[in-house]
Amino acid sequence: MADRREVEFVDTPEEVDRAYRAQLKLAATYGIVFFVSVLLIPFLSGSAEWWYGKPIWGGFTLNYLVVAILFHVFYVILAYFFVKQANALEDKLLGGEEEVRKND
Amino acid sequence: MTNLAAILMVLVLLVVTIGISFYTRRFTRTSVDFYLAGRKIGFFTNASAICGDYFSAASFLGVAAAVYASGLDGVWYGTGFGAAFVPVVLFLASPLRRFGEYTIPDFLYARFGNKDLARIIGIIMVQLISLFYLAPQMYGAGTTWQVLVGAGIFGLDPYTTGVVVVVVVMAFYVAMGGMKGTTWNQMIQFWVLFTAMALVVAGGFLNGFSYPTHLKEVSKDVLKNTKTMTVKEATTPDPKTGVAPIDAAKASMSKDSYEAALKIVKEGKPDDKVVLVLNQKNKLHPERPMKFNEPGHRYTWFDQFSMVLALVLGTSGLPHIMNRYYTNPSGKAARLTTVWVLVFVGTFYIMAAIAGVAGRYFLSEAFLAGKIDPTGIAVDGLLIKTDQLMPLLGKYFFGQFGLGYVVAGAFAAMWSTIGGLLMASAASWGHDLYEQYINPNAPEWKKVAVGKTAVVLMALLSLIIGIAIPYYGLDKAYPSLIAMMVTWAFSVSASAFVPTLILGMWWKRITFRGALAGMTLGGFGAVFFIFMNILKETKMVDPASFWGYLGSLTFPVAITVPVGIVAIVLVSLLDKNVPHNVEEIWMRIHGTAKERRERALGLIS
Repeated sequence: MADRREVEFVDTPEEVDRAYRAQLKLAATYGIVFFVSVLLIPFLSGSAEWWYGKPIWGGFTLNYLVVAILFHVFYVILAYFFVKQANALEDKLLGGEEEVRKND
Repeated sequence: MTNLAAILMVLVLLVVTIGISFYTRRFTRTSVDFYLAGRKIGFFTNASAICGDYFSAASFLGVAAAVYASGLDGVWYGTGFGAAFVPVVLFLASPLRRFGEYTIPDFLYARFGNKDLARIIGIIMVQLISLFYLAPQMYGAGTTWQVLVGAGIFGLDPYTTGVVVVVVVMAFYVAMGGMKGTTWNQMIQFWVLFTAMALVVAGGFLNGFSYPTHLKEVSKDVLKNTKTMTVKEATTPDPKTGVAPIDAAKASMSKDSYEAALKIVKEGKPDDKVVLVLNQKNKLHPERPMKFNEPGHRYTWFDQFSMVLALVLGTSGLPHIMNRYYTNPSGKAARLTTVWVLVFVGTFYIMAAIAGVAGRYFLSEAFLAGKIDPTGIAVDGLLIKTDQLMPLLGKYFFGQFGLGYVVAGAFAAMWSTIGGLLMASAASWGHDLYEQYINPNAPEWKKVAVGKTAVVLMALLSLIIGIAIPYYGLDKAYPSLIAMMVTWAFSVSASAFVPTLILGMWWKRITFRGALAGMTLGGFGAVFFIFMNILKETKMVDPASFWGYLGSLTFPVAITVPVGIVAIVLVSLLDKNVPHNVEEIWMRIHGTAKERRERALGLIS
């Protein structure tokens, strides 16, 4: 008798293609947010005095506060939400066919 | 600064390292065990080990020192290192693990239609990146030993002793323990260096450190730093201002220090060394005085962009980091691992920035108040060698214990990174070359033996490089050599691998020829610009010549990565010869059936 579990766990090309497109959209969206943020920092450092030259809290300029503390918090939160969404997408879009087979 | 506590703590770390390698030698009987620890490393352990791999001496000693010396630009340098794992989690962690090979060259071979040339270019790039990264670690080992231990053995000078000791320890523990031993060691070494950084920061807060207040304090005047130069250099007028450094220093040094420096200049020979304290210039906004809390001390506007791009993109192609993703049990575990990595690196670099500010304030105060003897270490309260910041802060806050713990942290940082690099390099020689081309039918014991031999040979090559750096005067040409060379490794990695890896995972139409064009133009382009920069800085080519102009690009990534991407896209679109098994590859990269099956069978959690 064939091992039932061996037969059940399959991805169809259509499922994988759907999952790939959804994951690409998700990764690209987060990627754009990340790279725009990263490049915005040196852009402002070279062009906006309110950003790099005006202390807002003790010795902190906005530039210093963002680079030394806030940006680290930002990218950890960004990655956390990305992983949560990416894992949920996978669970939702892949493995549907095997459910049908289980019901057979 | 020879110190018993420091030597003792490094010895304890050494004994633990060797003990772990000895214990884990039993887990290296097959090549999948030796190179990938059986693909069974959990996310927390793997995240710790990845951080151990990642945090080298450049991070542990160098980032806090960069903040101390440069203020905001030093913080920006650390932030680039920290954010670098975001592209990894977004684009690579999960697909790379699911593809399920051993190494990056393996991926290139299998992804681009089983083409040997793809793997061979991959091997060349892996070795180049590993050597670019190993070189500063070796230099760091020598200088750290020189500064913190201060004594040589068997008639060797302290620098060479440091290089030899580190190479011997590394070769032993990596060859014996394989990936499992390396992983456990890297995890322990990471927590040693992380807690050493936390100890220094805690010392600051226990002594009344307030971030906004002390940042304001160190930013109130123009940024000053020490500069060691020859008498000849001190008396040569700057071509732009017409003022010699010794004359400029009159306005920025205390009366006593200036008179002492002037005496050396007047009575010394042209090659005698003198330490001056000079007001720093703002490269980004030349019209503004250089302040600690403003950008512009290290980077021009172009370099502000290209430095961060080199770090943010380069990490995704570092072989010793990316190989670790193959040790995760699943794609989801690879993503989760990266989130933990980001938490650890983010916390670490926030602390490193605090250590830099605390050092600027507390050490200056301690030197000027006579709490620390500044002789040979500082002038006017400012460190002569900024790499001494962390150990001095450890000693200032917690005495001999603090110094010893920070020294152990510095060695832990070097060992864990060198261990990972040797492992990645050995995997490339042993698995990619020997197992695929020289002896594909080799029994498991022979594959493992070749891997171990490759570790020892790469360690010996590292030894030669470590000794060659001061011999060829590279340390004189680049004042921040460790940071600079690490950034070179990131530049080659970003240019050679990252466009190919990301497009290989996410663009079906990429072809073998496209990938080859991208890796060759990007990777060798980056190597070319770096060598031109070395030739220019060591005065082997005239800085005013055409070749000197090509060598003026410190971080080539802003040019070489776009060139690589354009080459891949254009050549692939013209070629149209996508691998025949691309659908099967897509199922492997973006499907989860295999993992679901393994989860149901209880093989992964």
